[in-house]
Amino acid sequence: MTQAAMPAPFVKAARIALSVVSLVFLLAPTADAQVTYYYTGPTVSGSITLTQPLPANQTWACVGLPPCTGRTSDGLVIPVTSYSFTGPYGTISSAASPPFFFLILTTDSGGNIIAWQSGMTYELFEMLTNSQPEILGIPPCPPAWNSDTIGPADEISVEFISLSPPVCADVTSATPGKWSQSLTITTTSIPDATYNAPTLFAAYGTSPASDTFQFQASGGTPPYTWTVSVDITSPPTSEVCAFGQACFPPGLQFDGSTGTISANPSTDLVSGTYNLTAVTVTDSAGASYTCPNSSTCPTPFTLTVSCGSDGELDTLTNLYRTYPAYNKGVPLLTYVANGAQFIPPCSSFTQTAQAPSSLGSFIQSGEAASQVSLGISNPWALVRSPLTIPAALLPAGYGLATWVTVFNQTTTAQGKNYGARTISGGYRDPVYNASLSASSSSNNSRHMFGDAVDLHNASYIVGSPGTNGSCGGQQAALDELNAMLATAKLAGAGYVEPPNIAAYCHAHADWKNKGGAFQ
Amino acid sequence: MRSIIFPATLTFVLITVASSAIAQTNLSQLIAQLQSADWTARSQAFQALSMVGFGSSDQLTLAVIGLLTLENDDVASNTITPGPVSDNDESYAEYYGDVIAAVARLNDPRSITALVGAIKTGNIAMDAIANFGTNALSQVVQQLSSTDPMNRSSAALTIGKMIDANLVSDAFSRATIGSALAVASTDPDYYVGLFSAASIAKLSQSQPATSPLSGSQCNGFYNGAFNGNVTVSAGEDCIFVNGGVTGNIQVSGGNLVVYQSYVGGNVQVNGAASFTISTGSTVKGNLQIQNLATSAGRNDICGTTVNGNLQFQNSGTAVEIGAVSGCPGNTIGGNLQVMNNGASTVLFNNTVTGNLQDQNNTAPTQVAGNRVGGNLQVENNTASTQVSNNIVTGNLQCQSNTSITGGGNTARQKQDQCASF
Repeated sequence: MTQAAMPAPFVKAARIALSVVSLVFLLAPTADAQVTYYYTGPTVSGSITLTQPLPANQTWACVGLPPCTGRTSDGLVIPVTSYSFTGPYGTISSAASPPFFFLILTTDSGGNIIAWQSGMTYELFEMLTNSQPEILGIPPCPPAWNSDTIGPADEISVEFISLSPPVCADVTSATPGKWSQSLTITTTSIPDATYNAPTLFAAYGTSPASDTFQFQASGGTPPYTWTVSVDITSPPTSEVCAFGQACFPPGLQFDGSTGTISANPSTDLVSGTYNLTAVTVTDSAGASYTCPNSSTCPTPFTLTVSCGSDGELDTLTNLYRTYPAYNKGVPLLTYVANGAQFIPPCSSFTQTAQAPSSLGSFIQSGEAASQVSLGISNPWALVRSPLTIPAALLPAGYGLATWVTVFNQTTTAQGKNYGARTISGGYRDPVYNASLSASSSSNNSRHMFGDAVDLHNASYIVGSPGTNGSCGGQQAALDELNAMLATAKLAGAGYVEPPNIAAYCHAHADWKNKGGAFQ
Repeated sequence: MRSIIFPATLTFVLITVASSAIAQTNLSQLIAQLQSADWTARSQAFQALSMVGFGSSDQLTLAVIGLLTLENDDVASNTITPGPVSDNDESYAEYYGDVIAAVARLNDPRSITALVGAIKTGNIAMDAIANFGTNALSQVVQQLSSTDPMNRSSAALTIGKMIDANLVSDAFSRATIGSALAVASTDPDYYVGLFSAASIAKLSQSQPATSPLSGSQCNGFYNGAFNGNVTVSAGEDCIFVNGGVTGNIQVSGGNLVVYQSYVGGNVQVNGAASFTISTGSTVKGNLQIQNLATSAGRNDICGTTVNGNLQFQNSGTAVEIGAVSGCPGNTIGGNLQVMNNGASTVLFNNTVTGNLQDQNNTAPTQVAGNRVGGNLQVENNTASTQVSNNIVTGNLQCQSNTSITGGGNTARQKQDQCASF
């Protein structure tokens, strides 16, 4: 990428010399339309003759695609009488009248750019007020543009200009016909994560206080995916990769599909400051950008995790454990009674287990007895670990935002509302299952395969409604069941129970037949 | 806990026989038992035959496909026998899920209809259907019009899976999907709209920018920009998603979809088969729809910015210009006029810089939640008319309507029939 200095002094004359700092060419789609070519060759230069001077403290620039008549809606009309631009592939003549792109740069007394505005004839560039261009929509590509004299047939181009000081202005296209900025990570730092605070992450910079922190990127072709590498040797940690998740500082977890950091109460917290040695964003076209690098983010991100200064502990009222996969005919060989590692960080465990009734009606007293007979003193519910539901996709009003990580049923004290849906059924104990009446498929219960859940909204009563699927006439509850089942499908559930055959007002979802660790 | 007691008169085949020991006679009996009126008998036969393997013979393959069809019908009609089903042990649901999985594993195109009948049951069915690609597409698209929102949302997800797997890449399939999903994206059910929008985005991203070859022929799925005017004729499906035209679009028959797209000039729809202009689209000029034939269908204008006027008139097909849910209101720089229509009209949550006129309609009409910069005039409508919760900078004027109700409006003056609204 080449850059040229702005012609000095600040231009008010009718003739403006321009320097193009970034010119990117996207070749037309080939047989393999996903291949994108970028041009980063010699500087293109040229000039435009304006018919009137600019207002004070404004620099106007236009490049490449006249006529540059400005936008009357902006109160600035600057007709152009002629232009000439020469690039490495040829010259644009004044005969064509394709769309144009312009910038209006507002500078302070020192010549520093303090605001800018941009536009196109088709208004596909939003007005901007910061140094990062935001490009919306799709620039039209009329034939006149594609077939002008700028170079070999089929190339189309977008120009982005910058006057001194340089403005971040790489413009690339990741998908033919769609224009966007080059991919970059815009996050500059991560706020401290503090348990026992009103929110996990305090307000930090422009980020509001929240229980989650999300890395931000711009440009490229969304959606993005993220990966992080964390130095977990300092401070030293013992278990940081539980449940098959990517290594991350214990007490926190990272969702690569959204670039989001959130609490992970299933791992013991180790306070300290961690170095994120690499944070990489990848867009849907396969382009990627990694921090740290020598230009925009020279030092690694750091993430500080602590329990907070008050030392106050959460108290669990429910605790759910996970079991390894259970296959028909194979006993629970690896049952472990002590689930210390599942206690949320900075929390104490004041209840060794739930009474059967509090786990819901699905787990019957007979089941509790059978578990006792197996030497299991307390009944536990099994849920997929973790069953992550994309809360952002949930509609308002269903109270499902808390249905994030089902087994993390902590209190809502101190604002940390990581609570789950009420689980009324999970893993079915084999002895209890065998004790069921002679339903032909009871020995093949989908709850016997280690990753089934029955859930319901605690605000509705679980029980036989009298009429199949009616949830006791509570239409809102039935609507919510449908919502839960839809989100379960998004979470990959292989089978969800149609509400009209679920006489009980709950949502059943399971991952049997779907393979993976829990098959 | 419900105990199931089998009638003594029924003879059930023992299921404890090993697969190798199932004699041909027993096999035939078991296959026949798959069609029993009693689902517990069907379940027993299913489990026994599972040991043999449903892919081991064509007879068994067809038998289990037929079984799934039967279960789908029982589930859909709530005629599961014996019933009502107690959910305490989830026996039926567990059996039903296993049947779906057994059929899905066959990967047999003859199972498409049966699997589509179970499309709402999750990813086992949806993945299997998606793998059939174009062979299953028409049936899946049909589910987007199901009365069951779970079927509709599952169909949208399944189409997304087909796109992900690049199994519906031909032009006809793309046009079919684009048209159906654009309509489904305005579905009042949250998840149908959400999943449809996600799948249509995948569709657009899965092909390079494409635009019509000429303005006189627009028949296909386009995600690029066309420079000039476009005419849509009868028999054509003109679908713009994330694309657009720099000039005008004139529809004189055929179907038009403008989804998250740009029109530099006017859109004029005259006697089209159907149209959808929805979320994120911009019409820089006027949007005029008229003379649509009488139809039981519905057309949508949702979440669109119209810089000029929006007129919908002399039409026999229902329209939603914004709706309570699923179809966001529009921003109209000029006037919004809905006049002389013979099918229902819904005008919800629009922002109108000029006047809003709802007049001379002979079918039910609803005007609610709009922000009107000028006057809101509701006049001479002969069917039920509702005017509520509008914010009018000018006057709210209602007169000569046969049956009108309303309330919650604010206006400089509320006049005539709307005086108390």
